[in-house]
Amino acid sequence: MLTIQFGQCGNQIGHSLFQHVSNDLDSTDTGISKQANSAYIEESFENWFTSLNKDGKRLARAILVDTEHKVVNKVCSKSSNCWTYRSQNLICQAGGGSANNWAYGSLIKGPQLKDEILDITRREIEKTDCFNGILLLLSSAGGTGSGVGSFTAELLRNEFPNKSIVASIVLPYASGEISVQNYNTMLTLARFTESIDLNLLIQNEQIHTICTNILKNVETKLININDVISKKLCSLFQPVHQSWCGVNFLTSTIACHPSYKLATIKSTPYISPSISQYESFYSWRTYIDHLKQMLQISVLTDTEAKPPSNFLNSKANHLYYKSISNMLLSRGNITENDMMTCDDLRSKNLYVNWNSSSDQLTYLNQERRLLNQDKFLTLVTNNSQIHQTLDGIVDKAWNLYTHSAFLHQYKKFGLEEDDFLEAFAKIENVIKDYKSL
Amino acid sequence: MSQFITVQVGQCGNQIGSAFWPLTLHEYGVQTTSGGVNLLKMYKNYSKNSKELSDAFSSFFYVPDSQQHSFAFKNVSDLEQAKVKARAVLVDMEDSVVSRFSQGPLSNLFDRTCTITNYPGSGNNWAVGYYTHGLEYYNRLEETIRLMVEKCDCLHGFLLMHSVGGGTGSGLGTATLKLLDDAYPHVDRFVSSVYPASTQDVITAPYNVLLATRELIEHATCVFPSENRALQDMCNMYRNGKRENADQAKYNASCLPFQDMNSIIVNMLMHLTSGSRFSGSLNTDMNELATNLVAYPNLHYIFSSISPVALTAPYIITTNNKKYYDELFTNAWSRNNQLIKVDPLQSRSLIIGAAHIYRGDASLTDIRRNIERFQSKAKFTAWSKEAMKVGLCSVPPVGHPASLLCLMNSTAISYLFKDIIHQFDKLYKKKAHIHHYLQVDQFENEDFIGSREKILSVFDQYIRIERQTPINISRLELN
Ligand SMILES: Nc1nc2c(ncn2[C@@H]2O[C@H](COP(=O)(O)OP(=O)(O)OP(=O)(O)O)[C@@H](O)[C@H]2O)c(=O)[nH]1
Ligand SMILES: Nc1nc2c(ncn2[C@@H]2O[C@H](COP(=O)(O)OP(=O)(O)OP(=O)(O)O)[C@@H](O)[C@H]2O)c(=O)[nH]1
Ligand SMILES: [Mg+2]
Ligand SMILES: [Mg+2]
Repeated sequence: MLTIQFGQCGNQIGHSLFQHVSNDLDSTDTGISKQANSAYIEESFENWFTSLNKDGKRLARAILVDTEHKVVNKVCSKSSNCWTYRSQNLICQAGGGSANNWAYGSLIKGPQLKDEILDITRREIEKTDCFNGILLLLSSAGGTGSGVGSFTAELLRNEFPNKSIVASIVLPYASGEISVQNYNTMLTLARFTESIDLNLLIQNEQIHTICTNILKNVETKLININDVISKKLCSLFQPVHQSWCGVNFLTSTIACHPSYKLATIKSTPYISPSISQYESFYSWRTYIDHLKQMLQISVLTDTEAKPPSNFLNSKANHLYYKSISNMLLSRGNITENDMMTCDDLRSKNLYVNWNSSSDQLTYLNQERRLLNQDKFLTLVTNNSQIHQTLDGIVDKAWNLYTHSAFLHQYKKFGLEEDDFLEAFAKIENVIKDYKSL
Repeated sequence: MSQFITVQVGQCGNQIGSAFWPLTLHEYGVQTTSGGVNLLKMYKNYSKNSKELSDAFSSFFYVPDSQQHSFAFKNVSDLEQAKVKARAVLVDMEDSVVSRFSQGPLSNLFDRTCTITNYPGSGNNWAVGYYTHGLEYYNRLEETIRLMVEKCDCLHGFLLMHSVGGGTGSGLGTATLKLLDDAYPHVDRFVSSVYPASTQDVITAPYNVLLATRELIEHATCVFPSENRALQDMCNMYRNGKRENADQAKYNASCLPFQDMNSIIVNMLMHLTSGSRFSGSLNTDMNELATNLVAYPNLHYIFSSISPVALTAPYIITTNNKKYYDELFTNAWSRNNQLIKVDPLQSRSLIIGAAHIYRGDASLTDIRRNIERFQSKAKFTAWSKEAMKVGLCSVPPVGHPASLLCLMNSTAISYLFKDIIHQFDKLYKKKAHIHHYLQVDQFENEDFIGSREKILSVFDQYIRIERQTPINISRLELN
């Protein structure tokens, strides 16, 4: 798998992700045999790294893209003894960034970086024996990740029509990060739902709540948020037992219908590092139940940001968001005393009726512990809930648009009102599709 | 690393410059012998930023053979040895202030060829500065700036410093601004403009202010106005001992006239550029400011306030409590910390855009809480409550563990424009001193009239925003 990280967010998350993967490879409390562990390590290495450099550090199979130096410099200088980026894979302009402006990023900066991005991507793909697809990391609120990211998404789609591409897109806090965050997000999503096979949406605000509520971190920093995001992505892309869950597999199982290409990643349990030794783990069943609760409609608080509890979901008739398809990955040892039963996640009322029941839930497991953690579960879900998130973004972007606010900043770089309307129409369509599930 | 060229014009502009360079060097950890700044203590642990500081050194300075030097300059003779030059263009039509640069301890920091002076000034007459000198020096200015630009490999913006009340800074300063707009339309132009106190020290100031303001509206990316009254009040705080800070008081006492006030402007400019110079986990490059603050064309007069105002902390501060962060924000919103007297948060005004640039180490929890406080404190248009920018820069200012720069685009700026027109009308009605302007070649009465109209139209734009009823068009419906 080739990872391409864009802008500040993409590069910071990418760095955190590779750090986590590397830590996972080096983790000792695996719960499986030495032999099985080396198979795991080998497979994982193949996925994320190309080779070792002369100092014995793992070389990330990653490309770093930004329109300014500072983030990439910082990320590259945060040295780890175990892994590093390949210096030829830095695509970094000395400009001052993309001004938090999608139009500047996609119409001006993107074309400037085009050749370099294509060259290095081709080279990386040619180097790989068994190419598994591309993972793009970016935020939607700024200018580089969103704009250059959108440009690249289209570029790669045209250049590699048969390769699977998954994007992990960080959505901003509901408000107050960047004045034009909702324009940028809307424009980005309009492009990505067009060009990219599957978009994993991550909301900073929600992750922040997980950090505060479950990890009891009263002083949450971006680093902590990135830890949570990285763990989600790790648990998704690290090797599993039955088959390889790579980008190809993921897109074919989760994004099986062309109108529905958005998904979120729900995980449990999050355990704060300081208390992990003393934490007693619940049974698999409890966690499955916890995951299922995350799919309920009309819970006031986000269930993922509440710790799981043994108080089992009474069989009351809860309403659930309709999923098209879900994928469950469990990491940790399953025993006779603590069986894995994912039937709860197969119940009919979770799914739309037009997807055949065999395609609804895909279950994969890996006995090896992820990052020394006894149990960790991840559910990738493509369900109707996402329309609420999109609705909020479009509401705010539309409000700006009808007041003509900030439009001249985009016109300056050639993005006209019609382009905005087209993007609005696309996203309204996506919302409508999801809403009607 | 992003680079900036400062263009300092007129007495005021150059005096701001003379506060700027020692303070900047101080921030980069370079010892200057010019007295004052040595009285400002560095905050403990500041030196841990040294790598970051030396990486960013080229933002304001040109180092020939940069490969050979580690950029870890300790004192002025290190700078001289490496032939370091400030990325600065010094312009004045009298040479008393600029010549202070060429004699002072930092004299070798400024390239002789980047100094443009003449005698005896512009006589507090915008027309003389803009037309007479503007035309005469056009080629030299263009050439000097071009040479300076060629020495940048990553030019990010121009920082223009001037006053609008006199003749040179006001007239030639805005002529230079127009030149920059024509020659480098894609490079941002940030302007720090000193507006005179209402009790005018210059009789013709109302004319100069009006004429310069029009140019600033037409050619600047963002204007950060400051007023001497506001700056004076902030300095008086230390003089009257209302804020206990012995080091700051000593520094202020060592200052030349205006230098204490100018240091406040400089402090603001250093925060403003911090995100472009240093890294941060939510890094804010300068070109993001216009995107986030300027919602409509021409409305780019930005209120700025800093917290803390003092350049150095009076005592060791414990930063690990909520109260510390909340106070930092509260103070930045206080009118006492504003660089102009108009209160951007006054009750009738609406915020069109705001940015908070934080320097130091903070948790997102503290930042989010304060952004929400701001959203409930200020008044907004139907859409601007969401229009908010946050930046986090990892390098704190030299004298504090943390600082905050608050930038607001508020309709309250209409009071400034209203006052400009009012002061102008009072003088113009009497036709006072008009002939001094009309006799300048190329100046026409139309300059007065057109400028007044332009400012009035911007004033109207702000008032319309204040009065606008929310537009409610339902979202696109698809069939
Ligand atoms: N989770 C997470 N979010 C981040 C991080 N860095 C930035 N963001 C989010 O990303 C958005 C800002 O976009 P950036 O990635 O900084 O912008 P950029 O792509 O570099 O674009 P420009 O700076 O405008 O050129 C905001 O919503 C931030 O909250 C990070 O490390 N982790
Ligand atoms: N804050 C501040 N204001 C200053 C300073 N010097 C002058 N002023 C103000 O600037 C205005 C006068 O403009 P000057 O900058 O002296 O004039 P000039 O640009 O040199 O123009 P001429 O003297 O007419 O050639 C008055 O309002 C002064 O109060 C200074 O160093 N700091
Ligand atoms: Mg950036
Ligand atoms: Mg003068």
